[in-house]
Amino acid sequence: MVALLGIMIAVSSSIYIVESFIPFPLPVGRWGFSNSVVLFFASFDFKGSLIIAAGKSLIGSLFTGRFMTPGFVMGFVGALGAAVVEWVMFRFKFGYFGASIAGSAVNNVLQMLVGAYFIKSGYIFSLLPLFLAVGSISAIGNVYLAKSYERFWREMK
Amino acid sequence: MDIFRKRDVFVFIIIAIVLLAWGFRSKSYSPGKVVVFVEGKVVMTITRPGEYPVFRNGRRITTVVFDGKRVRVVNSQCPLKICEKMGWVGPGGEIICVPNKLVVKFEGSTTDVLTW
Repeated sequence: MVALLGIMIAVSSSIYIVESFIPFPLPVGRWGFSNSVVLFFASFDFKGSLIIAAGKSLIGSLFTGRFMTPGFVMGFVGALGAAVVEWVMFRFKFGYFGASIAGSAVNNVLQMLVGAYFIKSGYIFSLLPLFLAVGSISAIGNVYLAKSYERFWREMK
Repeated sequence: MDIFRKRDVFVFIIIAIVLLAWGFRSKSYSPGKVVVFVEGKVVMTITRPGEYPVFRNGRRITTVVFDGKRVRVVNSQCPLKICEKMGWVGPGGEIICVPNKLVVKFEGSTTDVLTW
């Protein structure tokens, strides 16, 4: 299981690094497709989803030069919060869509909260509706990615 | 795990309600007055076009450029320059730089008014 977790962290980190090179339509934000692995794991393994969320944020930020920047802290907290919410959503019998959208929303809200703490101002929340809308689109993409990991996971195990 | 279950609709509805409620808020801004915040405190109020350096702890962190109607920042001392990439913003828009703890916005007030 440890080895499999390591592989999934590597997959998620790779997606994190590669997507940072793909232009994002807004000046701030990321595609967030690396969260698809977290979403998949949250459907059956809470600890695993947290480990992957933390691991891909750490490794991805090291490779992209964002380690220990405010952006890293925002993303790290957001990813962990999303993992928790997604796991709770699955426990309450929601599907991939519901869990992914909720996870994305919580991810953005937590990032805004951390950002507001850094800049000591609540004005950052004016960006929240935009991030909720764009995040929902990424969340839908993550649904299909997470579903595709199921067959891969069965074969790996 | 199912891709979609019936109760997932509730999540969409909640997100849609939040977005709609936010969109119905009425806001008014003074187009000719820009306020600059650093660490939550007002450090500068700009009413005339020009370039204005902003300092934090004695170090210049960015330069605010105001053309009378729009504002942007240039030469920011942050690693990703996201604040510069925001470009020109007009009344209602904001420029936020988290590493520099900077907010640049037009002075205004927000009135929570729901219109039907």
